[in-house]
Amino acid sequence: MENNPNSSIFEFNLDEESRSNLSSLTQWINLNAITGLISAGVSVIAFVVTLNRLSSFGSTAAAGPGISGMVLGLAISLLLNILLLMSATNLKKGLDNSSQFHFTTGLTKLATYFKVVGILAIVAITFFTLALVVVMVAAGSRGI
Amino acid sequence: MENPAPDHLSEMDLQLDGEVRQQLYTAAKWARFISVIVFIGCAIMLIFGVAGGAAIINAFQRLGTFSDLFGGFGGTLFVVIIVLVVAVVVFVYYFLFHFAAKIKNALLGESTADLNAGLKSLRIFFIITTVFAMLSLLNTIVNMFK
Repeated sequence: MENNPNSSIFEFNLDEESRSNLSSLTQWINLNAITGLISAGVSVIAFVVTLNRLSSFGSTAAAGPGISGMVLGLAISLLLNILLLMSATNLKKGLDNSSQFHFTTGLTKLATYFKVVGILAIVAITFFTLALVVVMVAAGSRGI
Repeated sequence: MENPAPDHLSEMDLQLDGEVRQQLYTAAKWARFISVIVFIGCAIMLIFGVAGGAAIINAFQRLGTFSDLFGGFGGTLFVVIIVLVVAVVVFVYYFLFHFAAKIKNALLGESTADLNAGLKSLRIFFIITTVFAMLSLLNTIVNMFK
């Protein structure tokens, strides 16, 4: 018989321990998301402070790529942490009010969070591999 | 104004219905992928860090920046730091891997015990990553005022 993760509906449900684990998990996801959002804000401030310090030395050559990287990093951080925050909020509502809709939405957001992190990992690996190939080709053409 | 109609399942307990199972399965699948990628990354880092450690140290010493960066730490400590970092990262992502494995088992075997074990592992993963995120935030704030 083939195993299907969507098979039985009512045989296997949340017990008290599952609820307790989920409740605790929700709190930590929430704290993680809030810390991430604060970190994103602080990183922007730290970046601006560093840029000001560099510009006082007359060195602004790295500002362009630096700002692009900062904006990209901020966008990714916001996306991931907002997904986590939405997941925690919905899971908490689902558990507190026994609302199946919110519970499902919370788990959907959590699954989306892992999916986005996974896709970002694929993108990072692709860029890393391409960079490695470019470096190897460049080194090969120079006879290093 | 009247309150919106209550959720039709609110009088029952929460159900692990088809949609919930599908989302748990998706989360577990991607969590497993992420943890495997991290394990591979750690293995590569360990190989390059330990086996190529001496070469890296020599290169830095020739450039004259190694002693500036690491003071009198020495090459052994450099390798020890890499091993420690890899050990911590593997330890953290083991919990994500365990979550994925247990949730998959729970869905396939209808096991609430596996579901609970998976949720516990995910909670530990988020506890550790939250603590690291807080330490990193603290470090950024401290560096900002230096």
